Amino acid sequence: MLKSHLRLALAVLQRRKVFTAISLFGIALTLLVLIVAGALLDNVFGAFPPEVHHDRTLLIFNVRMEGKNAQSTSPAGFGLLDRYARDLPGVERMAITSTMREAFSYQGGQKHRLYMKRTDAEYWRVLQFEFLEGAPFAEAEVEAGSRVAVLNRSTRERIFGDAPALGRDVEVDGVNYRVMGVVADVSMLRALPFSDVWVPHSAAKDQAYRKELGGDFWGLLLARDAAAFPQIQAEFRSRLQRIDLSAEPGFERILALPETLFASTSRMLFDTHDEAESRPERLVGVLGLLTLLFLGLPTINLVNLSVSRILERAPEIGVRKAFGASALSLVGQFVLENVVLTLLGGALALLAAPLVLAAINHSGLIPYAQLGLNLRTFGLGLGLAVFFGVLSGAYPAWRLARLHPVQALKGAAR
Amino acid sequence: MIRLANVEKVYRTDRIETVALSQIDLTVAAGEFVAVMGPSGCGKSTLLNLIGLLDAPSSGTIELAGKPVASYRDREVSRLRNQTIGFVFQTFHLIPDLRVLDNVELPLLYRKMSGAERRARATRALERVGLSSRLQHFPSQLSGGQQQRVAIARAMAGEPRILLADEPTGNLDSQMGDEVMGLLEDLNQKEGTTIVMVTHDQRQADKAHRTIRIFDGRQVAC
Amino acid sequence: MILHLLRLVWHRKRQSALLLAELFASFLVLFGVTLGSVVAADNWRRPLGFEWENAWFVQIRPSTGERRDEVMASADLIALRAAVREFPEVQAAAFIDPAPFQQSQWMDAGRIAGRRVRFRIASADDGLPEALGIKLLAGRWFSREDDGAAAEPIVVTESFARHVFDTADVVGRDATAEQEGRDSAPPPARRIVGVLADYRQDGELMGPEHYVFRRAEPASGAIRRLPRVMLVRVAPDSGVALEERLLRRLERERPGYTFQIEPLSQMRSTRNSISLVPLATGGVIGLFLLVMVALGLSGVLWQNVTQRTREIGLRRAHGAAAADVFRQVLAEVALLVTIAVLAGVALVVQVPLMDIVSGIRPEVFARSLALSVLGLYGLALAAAAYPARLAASLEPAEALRYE
Repeated sequence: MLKSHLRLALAVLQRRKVFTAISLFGIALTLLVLIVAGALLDNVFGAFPPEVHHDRTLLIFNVRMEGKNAQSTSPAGFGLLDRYARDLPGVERMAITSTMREAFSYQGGQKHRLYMKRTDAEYWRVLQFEFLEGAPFAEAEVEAGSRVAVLNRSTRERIFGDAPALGRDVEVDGVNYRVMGVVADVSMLRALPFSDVWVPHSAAKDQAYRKELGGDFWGLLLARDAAAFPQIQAEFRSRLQRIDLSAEPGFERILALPETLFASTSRMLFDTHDEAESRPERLVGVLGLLTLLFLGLPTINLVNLSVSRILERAPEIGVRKAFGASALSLVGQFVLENVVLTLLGGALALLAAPLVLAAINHSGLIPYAQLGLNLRTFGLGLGLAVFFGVLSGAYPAWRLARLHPVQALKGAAR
Repeated sequence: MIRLANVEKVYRTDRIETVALSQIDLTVAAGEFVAVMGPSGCGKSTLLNLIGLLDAPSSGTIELAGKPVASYRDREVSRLRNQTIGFVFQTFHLIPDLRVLDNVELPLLYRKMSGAERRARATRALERVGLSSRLQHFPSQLSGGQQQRVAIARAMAGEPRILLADEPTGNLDSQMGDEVMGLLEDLNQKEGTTIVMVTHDQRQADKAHRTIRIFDGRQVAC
Repeated sequence: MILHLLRLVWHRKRQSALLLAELFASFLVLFGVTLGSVVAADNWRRPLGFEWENAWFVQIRPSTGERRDEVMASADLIALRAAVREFPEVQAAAFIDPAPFQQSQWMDAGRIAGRRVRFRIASADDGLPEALGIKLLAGRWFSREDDGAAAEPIVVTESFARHVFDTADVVGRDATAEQEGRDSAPPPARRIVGVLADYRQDGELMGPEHYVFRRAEPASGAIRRLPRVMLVRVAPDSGVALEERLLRRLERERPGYTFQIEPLSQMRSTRNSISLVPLATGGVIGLFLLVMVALGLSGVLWQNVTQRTREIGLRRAHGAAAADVFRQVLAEVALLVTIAVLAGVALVVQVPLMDIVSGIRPEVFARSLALSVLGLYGLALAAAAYPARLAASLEPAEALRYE
């Protein structure tokens, strides 16, 4: 029966070419937008190298200090991370990196705009970069405050041309750094590993940052496994409660929580820093709602088209009922038809998606974007197509299955 | 095989009630070939729809194959229609998007049956109506007579015990009509299928075992 | 005729309801896209209030960290400004914070002269008008005569003046902002010394807001928060070479600081592209939704026409001309659009009525509304044109025979 219905579905689509074309166009474009959005989200939150331990990494992004009349939210300070986030139980490694900052380099009479991060040596172990030249800086360089730097490939190309850069000097914001290594580019959508230049945090002119509670640093905690997360969070929270805030007049308590990338992002977007528990499901909810809102118009459109397409076949429904089709099997048949249609649209969208993604990658809108269709995005597209098909097929099918057989045979479908 | 007792059918709209059928008592024995005659709009088709369970009576009972049709729930009615009853319509009602063979397979589609067997049965039915060379045509590529023969093959494929024909020759010229009637008689005699046929044509009605006349929703004489 | 059509629509209410829902949603999308574009176009045409050509942005950061104010000294700023002014290519140099096209903003709000107002605020030194090409409508810019003044001198935009005082003639007036609901320290007294035409920090694409400048002249001593951006007006065609020389000079002057130089033109294009990306994305997605709706509508109507062939044949048999049939199909669509538009407008006017989005001028809102109403009629009628022609071209006899 399924096979026969499938054959019928294809036959119907083939014989109603205009309808099929219009429907396919709408479905394919709708799904294309969603697939591209999905690829973007996946690129922000998914697990890609160099973040190889994505599933067991916790991040400390922001800290919030609160008092009676004042509150301040900022990235964590180096001092806070250095003193209170080390040696947490269940944590294998802890790395500290500054937030990304714009910097300028004047080299060979030209000016380059760069993004720069200041990190410790552990950063290069928590994140597994692909080194094209040299090696990362290690504890020795960080302790000595050496002026050394790791560049990414595009920056090397911009500043030094195609030649190897190892051992050469690069000037950034008035300071000369010796190039120690060159890594492959990472998309700007990846908050943690993205940068153009990395230097030891200790290479700064002034060392006052070492004491700050709030500043411009992030902490990366590599947990033994995800099961250790609650324990890590509890211990960190209790350590924060013990901090003496007398040096920060006006503030009474300090809040920060190691969380997954998704949970931290959700917290930042909804500004729920005062809540102890993170609520990543909010972000999921908002994304879901946006998707549904966006799907609304195409769905009504497809329902309208389906209703007309199926209404035309009222006599067919009458005949099928006369020969013993139950309402349920008719609903199944028409939903299947729509699912086949949307799957075809989905296939078109999946064919077009790599082109659109490549166009975005080449547009330079997102530096070093490496958007691509992977299995997850593919699955998303497929799932969306089926969902969309069922959503838009159910209503017309339900309406038609309820048609009175005698009326249907007369073709009187209202 | 078919028993209607005191069946009444009333159509209600916002303002008017129309009595389509009233006080119908009718028994059709297994293997009988019954013609139903009467002027236009007298309720012939309504009667056929009631027997075929396409419509439910306003009151009265209908028995099919010895069992009363107790409830008119979609699922049970669908099964009865599928396994016991076959239909032939005046306007053929073939599905235009399906090839001839797929059209004939239709009643088998809603049974648990392998695709191969479905195919074999449908092919056999089409051979019997003499259309084995047209399996892959679309209905629109056939003449009216051929289309009605496909419709009969479709009704036969399910091997129903009751065949309901609503003016099966009404849209055909007399020669094609005779061909179709021949098929129905053949089916009645060889398979013992009970046939109830609505017709306007006295000549066709004479070929049935008996004729029921309906006038203004009432049964006139046997 | 309209009643007749209304009855037709009513009798097909199920299908009409779906079409109405689609048209209604399309209207909202169309209105969103139109409003975004009209607002952007309207903003683009309005004066910016300053000249960004040949002005450079110099960020000054104490290398001790981002958030420490006390480490910056007025003396450092004065020395840095003087060092920059030595260059012959430099025509003017002045401090401002936040600078044009910078992402950060300061907001202030309160009750001034009994009227509630929200406004943006920036600190600037005495030399800003030359550095940024700002022209005053009335009064004067800050100067040494403000040193030691009892009330803090401010320069306001004309829109601020009209909002608060209903006139642009406000020089010399008191503009102390009473804070609401806070019983903390009394607000600092402020007095207006000058009026500007307009000032839009976020660039051409963003809407005008009330804007206020306060004085932050390092040489005057009394500054609560030191500005950290110097704007430098340079001779036309100054290039990277000058940038680098300026940078080295600044680093030599005060080694404890980090400096970054960027032409305002570059910051402007970055800022505008940041503003344009959501607008362009929304526009592209909105347009594609509308194209889809137009195609869908066309398909549904086409279907509708074939389904009603008999009715159309009957009308033709009773003497309706082909043009009448054409007009009838279009009129039915227009009727549906009218219902959808009425519902859509009723919803959309809640936005200004309930003051959900501020900063959109009523005439811009009205123009967008009118444009999107016209747009939806155009879209739907264009989609209906082919099915209507199809209906009109049916031969009466053929139409009646059709089953």
